[in-house]
Amino acid sequence: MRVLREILTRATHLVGVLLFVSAVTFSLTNLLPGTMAEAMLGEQASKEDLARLERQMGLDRPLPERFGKWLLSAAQGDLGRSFATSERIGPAIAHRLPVSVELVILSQLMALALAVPLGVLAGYREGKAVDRLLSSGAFATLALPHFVSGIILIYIFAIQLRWLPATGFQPLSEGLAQNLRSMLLPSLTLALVEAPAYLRIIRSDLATTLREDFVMVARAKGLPNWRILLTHALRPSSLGLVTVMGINVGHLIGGAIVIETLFALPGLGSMLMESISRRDYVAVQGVVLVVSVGFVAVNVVVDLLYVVLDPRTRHHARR
Amino acid sequence: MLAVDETRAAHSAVALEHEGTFRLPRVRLKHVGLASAIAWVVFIAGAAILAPLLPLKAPSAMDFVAAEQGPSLQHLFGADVDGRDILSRVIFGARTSLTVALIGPLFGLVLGSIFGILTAYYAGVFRAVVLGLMDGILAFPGFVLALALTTFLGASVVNVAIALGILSVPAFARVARANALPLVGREFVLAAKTAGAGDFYILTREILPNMGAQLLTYALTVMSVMIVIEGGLSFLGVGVPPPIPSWGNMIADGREALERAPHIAAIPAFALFLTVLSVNVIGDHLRRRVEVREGAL
Repeated sequence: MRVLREILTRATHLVGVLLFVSAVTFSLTNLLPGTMAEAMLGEQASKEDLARLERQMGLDRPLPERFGKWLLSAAQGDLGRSFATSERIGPAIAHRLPVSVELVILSQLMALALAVPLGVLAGYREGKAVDRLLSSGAFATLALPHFVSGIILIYIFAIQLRWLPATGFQPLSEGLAQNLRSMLLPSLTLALVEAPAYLRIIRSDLATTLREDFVMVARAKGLPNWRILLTHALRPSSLGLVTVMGINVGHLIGGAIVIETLFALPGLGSMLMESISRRDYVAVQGVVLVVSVGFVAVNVVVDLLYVVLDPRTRHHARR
Repeated sequence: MLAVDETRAAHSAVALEHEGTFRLPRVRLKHVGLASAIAWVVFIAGAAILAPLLPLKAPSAMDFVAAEQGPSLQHLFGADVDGRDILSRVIFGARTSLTVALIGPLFGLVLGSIFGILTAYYAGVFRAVVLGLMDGILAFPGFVLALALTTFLGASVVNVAIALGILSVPAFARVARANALPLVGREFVLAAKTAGAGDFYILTREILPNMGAQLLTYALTVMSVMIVIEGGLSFLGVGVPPPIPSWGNMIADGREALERAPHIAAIPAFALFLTVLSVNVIGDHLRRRVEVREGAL
């Protein structure tokens, strides 16, 4: 009964959040100064032309009616047509989404590949020179925004060494190797920004776990250090990491927008920026809605994942 | 994005807990770091405030002969693609960052504290509505909301600051509420109530002063995040509109000439990095002090 009520409360909350997100996104183009018709016709347009276009687009209808209509078609996947290209927004988003998803997944894999071994090393050698070096390195790297580390990587790997292309996306249809080559620098940039936070949480969680009694018992049994680290200490030390990765998703999305623009990747982020510069507000609205709803969905999944990973939260929910 | 920073801050606090035994050899190095961080922030803020009085070239004046040239006596830090003086633009760009980093957190601090304290003190419909609204703002990926707000409010330094301020309200409210909740039931608040003090008096004279340090420390954390987001927005060309220099749009300009003249991007990038790092160092230090004091209570 309690579980059911918990699920119901969460579902109501989720519906409320989704409604709020849609309402804000809708308001962006409908409440703020400069109506859509003005944006389409330019500032010099005559009053009559503006009024005619507004009627055509249904912009003269009352706000709640327009919101209802918009929400209904958005729920059916119809996000309208772009002003600039008269392309349907929904399919355009679906076409670009995989690039962004690939970027995010690759970058997270790289960030983990960097942060887990280094974080374990730092946590294991807590307070020693290696730890101090890694911890201060991570602290300094936290001050490097995406667009700065991206430019540094482009300068080193694309301009000086000429190992990798700075721009020029290769789709998967061109072959996996080509595709990965073009995704390497963008993913590495995103990974470099996220890795320090991961490293720091692994380091501190591991250092705490290593002080636990069960680790001392394992040591007393004469187990080799690597086994204590890998089989006893790492798993209880990884819950913090999952939490941070979950909270980090929003940060990741912001980073992806900057990086897609910097490296000219045809993902959702660059679509958003192109639409903004073309003043293509319907497209902006569509992308913001899709990204935000996706963000809410990912957060729900992360919450559930946490319950699966940590038996203690499950127990708590059942009680 | 701000929520991330909150956790990042929390983790650094966790990480610092275990430092005790290794303090001795590090103390002096740490103080040198803190002192340099404060010195840099004071220097860059001073330069930004005094910029119009300093003997600098106009930040938008174009000297086409010098375009893309490296440091010289004419242009100490070289000139950018349009031949504008980079030294002058870095300092005027600091004005942009400083404006955003002051107005944004102030906006969030004031509104967030009000919401946070009120929701800690009053229950009922008001609390449900405010907390729901805060959850709603947090449901957006921060950068996307900042992008959308500046796009639709129109690009200007103040609008960027306001957009970032709105964005930070839920985070401030959370910090304020978390700090106010344990105070509401404390003896001195009950004593004031018994003595017949009104709600306003209790909120502003009893509760607020006891959480000021935490809120201000948090504001410092938010500052460095905002400098980065403003840089990102301007880098993308939707933050501060072009003739006004911002470190973000300077780096974007430099991106075009990265192969021929890397200094155009490198100099503002370095200024941005040093400033964010310094604010982080100071924030980290203050946070540790506030936490130690809390621990002593």
